[in-house]
Amino acid sequence: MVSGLEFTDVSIDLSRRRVVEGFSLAVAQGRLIALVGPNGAGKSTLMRAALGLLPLAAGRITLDGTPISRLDARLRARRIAYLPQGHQAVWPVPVARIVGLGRLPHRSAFASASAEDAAAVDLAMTRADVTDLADRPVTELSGGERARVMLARALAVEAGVLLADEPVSSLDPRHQLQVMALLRRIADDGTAVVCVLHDLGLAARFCDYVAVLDLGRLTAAGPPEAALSPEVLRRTYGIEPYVARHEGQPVLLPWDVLA
Amino acid sequence: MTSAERNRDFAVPLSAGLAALCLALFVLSLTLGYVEISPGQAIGGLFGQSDPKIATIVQDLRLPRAALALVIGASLGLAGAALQGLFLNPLAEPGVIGVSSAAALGAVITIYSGWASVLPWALPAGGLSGAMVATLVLWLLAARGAGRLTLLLFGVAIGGLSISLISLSMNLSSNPWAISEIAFWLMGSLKDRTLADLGLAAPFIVAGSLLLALSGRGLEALTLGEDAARSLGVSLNRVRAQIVIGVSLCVGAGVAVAGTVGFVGLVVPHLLRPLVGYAPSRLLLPAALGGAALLLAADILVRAIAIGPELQLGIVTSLIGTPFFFALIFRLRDHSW
Repeated sequence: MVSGLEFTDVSIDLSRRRVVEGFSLAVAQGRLIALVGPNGAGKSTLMRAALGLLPLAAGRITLDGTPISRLDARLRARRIAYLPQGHQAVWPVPVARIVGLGRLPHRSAFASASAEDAAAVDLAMTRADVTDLADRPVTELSGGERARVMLARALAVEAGVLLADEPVSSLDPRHQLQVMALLRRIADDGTAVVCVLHDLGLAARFCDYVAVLDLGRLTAAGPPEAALSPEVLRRTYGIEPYVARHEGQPVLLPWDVLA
Repeated sequence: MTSAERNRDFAVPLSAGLAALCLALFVLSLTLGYVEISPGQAIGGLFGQSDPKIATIVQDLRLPRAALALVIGASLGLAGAALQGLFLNPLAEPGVIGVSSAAALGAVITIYSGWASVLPWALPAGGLSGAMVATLVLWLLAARGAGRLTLLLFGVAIGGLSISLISLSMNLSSNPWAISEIAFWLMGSLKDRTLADLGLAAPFIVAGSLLLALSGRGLEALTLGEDAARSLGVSLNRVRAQIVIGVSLCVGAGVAVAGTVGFVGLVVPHLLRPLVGYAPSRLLLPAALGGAALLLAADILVRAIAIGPELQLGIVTSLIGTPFFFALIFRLRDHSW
């Protein structure tokens, strides 16, 4: 049996248009995988499919060997946490309550929060550095604070797999580094983490594996330095990168647009 | 301090207080009318312990009115809270998704066609059918994956169409009696309702309210948006179906016996939401009790204000509700909610 999340020859159609074609990727426990690619490449679509929110046109997505589509929704929700893009929050609900929503899959219909739920919420808030915000209405937070609260909400699920769609896109540099370091730590603690990233530098520095998606196809995959090679970036984005090393780690900056 | 302590809200004491208020207003409602009856006599009469004449007045004349105000008010408050949670919009209200107007159209068709004067149950049947048609259309739309804005706008369009058709029927009517009947219908009232009206509406309203009460968990998850809610294991189709069907049962039956009574579902959740920490699931019970209290109070008010003809209930709730509507729109300019 294969452990973790596995995509095998996945194809997905949206409105009868093929948006993902023949995508394969194994996401093992303990890995932090970046899903990169130009806008519209199909990254978010793949994430939604992994949650069982979209039907597959071909191929299969399995969690520990069981097809996602055959998992009960509540069980799947306990094992795959999802941080959607955009961090929507409508009502001015206190932060602690928002984070507590991550415990919904663990509770039966009318049960209230258990001590275990409370502990998970407190731990998630500590890890995402939002404990001080606990009583604040979520609608009054800055974009960066809200992003961390939503990350805490996803962490509170305590799932084996975390799918994060652009988790750092609205954050300042300090919080970008904090969130990436946190995702790294979560992966090192044994969670399988997949995140959609647009910042190639963060992907190269923090992730141990990068999957490059272009027009719905996997065009490169592997350790950052192989998958994000200048050759791949020229082909995929039409850019020339600046590549260097600092403190033994790769530095990658988009530098020039190719004609 | 742990997160469990921080999440404290006032839903329990609030519900207890509102339930006591409903009880007091219910008894007060029983004491009002031509014959003077004390609260003690009213309670005695309800259980057949008073003078038989008083018991008859209380049970046959006043109980239907008070009980209808209670169940219709509760279902409207509940429906408003559930719809606002579903559409993530504090302006969503049974009237807004077109179910109230469609129910009124169904009832008007039976008045206009004359069926209502031949068959006593044709009027309520018309109201229920109207609400069900509107609901079915919204349900089909939701099942095909329409977003919440599309659904809301479609509801507005259904309401607009229903009102146009009601106006058309009044325009074309050559019967002044039918026109005045329709006009009064649209204003909403609980005057002169019977135990038969109560018996007809209550089962539908209770069934609809139960469906709505069971939607709390889904509404809670929807605070995070639709994709996140689904990722938490909530079936959006089920939540949508529960709420759309629940609302149409409540509103269809309510409109059938009381006409259109607007804004209860807008005002009550709006006032109570801050007291339950804005949690959609914790709002449901207080919103139901608050809706019942508001409609009981409004129905007492129309009898207490003696200015010529008795005020119509729907007019009073609209007069109370419209300022809230304006205030909410003003607030929406500043906040995302």
